[in-house]
Parts: sequence; C-alpha cells; structure tokens
Amino acid sequence: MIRYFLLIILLASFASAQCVKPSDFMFINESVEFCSDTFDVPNGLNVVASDITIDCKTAILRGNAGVSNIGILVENVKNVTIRNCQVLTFAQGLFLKNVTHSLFEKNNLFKNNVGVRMLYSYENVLRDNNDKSLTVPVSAIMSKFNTVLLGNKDIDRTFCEVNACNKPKEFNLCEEGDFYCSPSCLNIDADCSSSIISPNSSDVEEKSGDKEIKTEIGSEEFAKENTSSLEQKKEVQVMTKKEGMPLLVKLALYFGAYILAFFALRLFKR
Amino acid sequence: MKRLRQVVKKEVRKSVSLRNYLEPLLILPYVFLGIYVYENGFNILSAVIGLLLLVIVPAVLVAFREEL
Repeated sequence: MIRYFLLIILLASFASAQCVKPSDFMFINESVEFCSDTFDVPNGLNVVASDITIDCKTAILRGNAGVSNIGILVENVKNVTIRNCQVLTFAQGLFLKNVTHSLFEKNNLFKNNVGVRMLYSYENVLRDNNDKSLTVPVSAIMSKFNTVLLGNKDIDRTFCEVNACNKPKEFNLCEEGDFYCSPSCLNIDADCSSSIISPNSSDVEEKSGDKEIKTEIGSEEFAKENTSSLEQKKEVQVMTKKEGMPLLVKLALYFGAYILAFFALRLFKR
Repeated sequence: MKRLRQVVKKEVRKSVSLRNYLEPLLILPYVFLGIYVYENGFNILSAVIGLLLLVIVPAVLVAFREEL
C-alpha cells in the first residue's frame, strides 16, 4: 500500500515537472505549458519563435503597475498560439509586433493600460479574451485582416474598418494597393511584386516616442519563398498584361488623327 | 493684280473658318476608344463606348445633318 502511495506521489511530481515556471524577461522559443500559479514578471515575456504554442494554464503574469511596459511581447513570428494566460498590471498586456497567422484565445487581460496592441500584424485571431483595461482594450497600428473577438465586450474603433471586430468577417486578402502581400496571394496580389509588407521578411522601422528602434528580421526561408514567387509573378505579368502605351505616342496619335480628319474634311467639302 | 491678290486672300480666309478646326475634333473620341481597347482589351466599358461612338453618334449626326 505504501509502495503504491509512493508511486503515485512520484508520478504526480513527474507530471507536475512538465509545466514551466515563467521567469522575468524569459525568451520563449518552443512550445511550453506554464504552471498554474502567480508569477511576478515585471519585464514580461518574449515570444521569439514561430510555430509554437504557449498554454499558460491560467497562470497569472503580473507586472508592476505604472512601471512594467509589456506583459507578453510577440515579435517577428507567425503561427503562434497563446492561450489561458492572465496578464495583469502592465502598460500593454499583449504586444504583437510583426506577427501573422497567430491565435490568441481565452486570455484574461486585467488592469493593463492597453490590453492588446498590434503593430504590423496581419491575419491573426484574438478570440474569447476577456479584457478590463484602463484605457483601451485593443489598439492596432498598421495592422489589417485581424479578427478581434473579446469575450466580455464589444469594441468600436477605427481599426475595425480593416480588421474584424466583434464578429468574424471575410477579408479580401489579395486587395491591391494596401501594401500587404498575404502568402496566399503571391501570384494574384500586385502588392507582392515590389515593396512588400510581408511577415518576417522585411525590416521594420518604428519610432516609439523619442526612441528609435530598428528591428532586422531574418527569416531566409521566407525571403527565398518570396523571391521565387516574385519571379513567377513577374513572368505571369509579362505574359498576361500588355504594357501601357507611352504618353507621347498617345499624344502623337491624337494629333495625327486630328490632322488627318482636318484635311479629309476639307477635301470632302471641296 | 494687287487687287486680285487681296480678293484671293479674303476668299481663303472665308473658306477656313473656326468650324473647320472644330469639326475634326470629333475624331478624338474614336482615337480614345482605339487606345483604350488596345490597352485594356475588350470589356464592358469599351463595349459601351464603342456602341456610343459607332452607333449612336453616327445616327444622331445623320438625323440632324440638315440642322448641323
């Protein structure tokens, strides 16, 4: 009986060892599950790898009110999932910078100045997150095609014009002239041809107050994909689209036609 | 001889009036149609403009030829 009891305790300790205790300013580059507890992380956590899942298991990530800046910083990644986190007392609970195709669900963002801030982020889904922020629940700058569904409130802000707020919306991802090249529109969207705002492949320069931050992003694979698809796109363009007539040729045509009509009419009248 | 030259000049001036310069302007919409079709191919807009220029305008011109 005692053996079984010890075995159960050992197994339980082994099982509990699977969870990770988040530390302050921790860099996360693989999928993790946090232990269900309260953690003081005044400098927040950094998510720096794509294709990972972070399950907080209702862990509370707490900052210093009025001092701590970002709770969870997700930067230059794609296809990341963050769920079940409780982020408290930061200036910005969740900061998404140059993030695409990611999912943020069932998080609670309380007593932050801004719940979620998005910058250069596209095609993300935020759903079933509860928010009680001090100023605004969600802020989005230079971000499009995101779906923002808060669990406890509706939002009505200007970024909702280009993002889906409160209910899912179908986007035309391949819209031309929006300076965004979705990976699903490489051969269709004209924005994919030259200057592209594309996930994890460009340099992002931004000014935050008087501090200038330059972020260099180096995902070579994505760059290669883009280069090859751009070549394909150019070929398709050459094959399908004629070049526009030069302005001078047009003017010459108009003028020539006018002169011809002038003399033709004079001859006709005689 | 001098008198004859003056008369010929007047005749020429009379024959080349403002109308002679305005009438050829009618060709410009047709040039536009040609360029448009060349650049964009045949689409609904070029069809509408073509119908207007090749059917309706000639019909109107023929109908009101006397008044014009």
